Amino acid sequence: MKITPFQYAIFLYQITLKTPDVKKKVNDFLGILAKNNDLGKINEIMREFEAYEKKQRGAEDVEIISARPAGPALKRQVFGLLKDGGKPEIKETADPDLIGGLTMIIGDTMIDGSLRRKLRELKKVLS
Amino acid sequence: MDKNFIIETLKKQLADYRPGVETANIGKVLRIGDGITAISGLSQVMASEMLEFITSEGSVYGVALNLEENQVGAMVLGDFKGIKEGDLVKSTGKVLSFPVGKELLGRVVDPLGNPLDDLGPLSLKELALYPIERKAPGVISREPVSAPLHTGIKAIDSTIPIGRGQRELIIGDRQIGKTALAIDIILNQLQDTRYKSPICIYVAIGQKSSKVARIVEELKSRGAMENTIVVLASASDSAPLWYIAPFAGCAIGEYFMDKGQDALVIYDDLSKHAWSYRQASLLLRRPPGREAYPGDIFYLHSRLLERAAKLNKANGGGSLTALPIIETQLSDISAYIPTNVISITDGQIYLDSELFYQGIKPALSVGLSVSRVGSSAQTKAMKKVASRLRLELAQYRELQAFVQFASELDEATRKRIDRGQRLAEILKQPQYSPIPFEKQVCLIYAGVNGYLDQLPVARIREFEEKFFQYLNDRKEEMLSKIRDSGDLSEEIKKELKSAVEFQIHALNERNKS
Repeated sequence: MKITPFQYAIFLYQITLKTPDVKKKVNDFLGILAKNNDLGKINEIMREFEAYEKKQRGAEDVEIISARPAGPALKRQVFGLLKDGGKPEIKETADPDLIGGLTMIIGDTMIDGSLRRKLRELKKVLS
Repeated sequence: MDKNFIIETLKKQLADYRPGVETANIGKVLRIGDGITAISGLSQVMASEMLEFITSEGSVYGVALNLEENQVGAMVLGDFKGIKEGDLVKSTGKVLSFPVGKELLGRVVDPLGNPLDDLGPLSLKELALYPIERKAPGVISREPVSAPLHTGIKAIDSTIPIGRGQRELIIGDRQIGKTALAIDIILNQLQDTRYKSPICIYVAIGQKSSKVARIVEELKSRGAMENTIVVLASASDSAPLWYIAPFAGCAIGEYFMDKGQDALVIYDDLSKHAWSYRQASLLLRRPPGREAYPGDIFYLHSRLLERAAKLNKANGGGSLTALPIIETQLSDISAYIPTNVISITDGQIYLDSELFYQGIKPALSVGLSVSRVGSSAQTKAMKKVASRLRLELAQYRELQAFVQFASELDEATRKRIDRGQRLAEILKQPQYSPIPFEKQVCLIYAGVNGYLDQLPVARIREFEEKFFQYLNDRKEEMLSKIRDSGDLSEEIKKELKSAVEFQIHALNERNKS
């Protein structure tokens, strides 16, 4: 049977969870991958593993995109908003295309409060 | 201009503008190739939901098809070259829809509703959005086919009549006149004045753009384009566009059906449509079945054709007639897709390559073609003459093998063969010349009643021309009587008989002199 990258990722997570010798387990895991001729899937497995591990910890990826690099006051405000919702792992990026406002990506939900989107909507209404 | 006026207009336009915060379910592109993508995330997406790919070159739309455990398989509609791994994908919460409306008449559009002709953009405010996939009308809202859809083709209107709301398959090899037949049917719709002309929708799937350009030119020059909408997914468009093209055409037809009008949609052709779905399915790694088609290929066509309907009065009384076209390979009608579509439709028009090479055009095989529901919609006048035509042709077919020994056969058999040859001759018809049904009735009347037996087969064509000319010039009143009543009363029969006799006599006289 074909084993999907997701299944490999769960497997890797479980064998490395409570072990003192992580290195050996990872080596064994790579051995299995080689035996199954699945070494080509390693990138996908790592991506799935990362996501799965985060989910198990109850952590959530949060990306904050703003037009200009966020100042300290804004940061504090956003952190304050997020501190009740689990363990956010915050990443900030600046994208001048946004023009103004803020866009947040939490897991697979995007909250778009950017000026770019508002202007686009305005254009739609006026056309 | 007054400054206050400008401000007032702007205010009015901005009345519904409430900028807020938009929340969307998103994902990221994992893989892309050949118009098919794998996307991570998108945990809330629904099957066949429209997706928006946000690329560096603007937005491209797609449809979610495979919802798997950790990823979503989707097809991209339009140019997928700008999409890169890691690009953001937004779910829209809408199903794919197509802008429909009266404004589309006379236009050539792509399966997403973008105009392909040079008549300028479509104004979206005038158009309604119709979902591309919609549930077909149920049993309660339908009624049996009752009005005829005259095709202007003698062989079809007499032996395999089509009714409004019917699904009739046109099947045959390549280069044998399937499209020509469909175009003739569109051309005839303006001639048929007894019923309201249906809106014609021609869906070209994977056709050469040059062929479609020629068809559009032909329709324009004959004035039929203003009643026609062409949906084109050309040979160079991607498979996903081929896949949605017939559904888009069907959505246009449904719009007119919902308005209580009649519509006719031609899918040219569904074998190419099946190929595009096979391609997309294999790329999505769905398991292949017979001839490598996916398991739901039957459902794909049945749900499309099921949307053809005749609605009852309570639902507006509109109708959508579907004429799917299937191209066979080496006349093999028992291949997978042909048998599927034959079983879905209410009958088929089979074009035979052998007949075509014998010079019988349209190369319609009366024996293999059937119409399962259309006869109830046939006009009484046509029924009266056509029932005998069908019988005589069937008897002729049985005797056809003996034609070469005609001189050794008994009198009755020879007569039957003679009659059959003449009837087969009057069913021939050149391209782009649909004939109104009342004239067809007159000609077939002359044939089945044996008036043409006195003429040599080679002169039947000449008789037909002269006869139609005569009817046009002298018997306009009789024609309109047949047209309006749809019946052949004794009185009309008498007049028709004398007209035929007069014409035969005139032809014989001219021959002698």
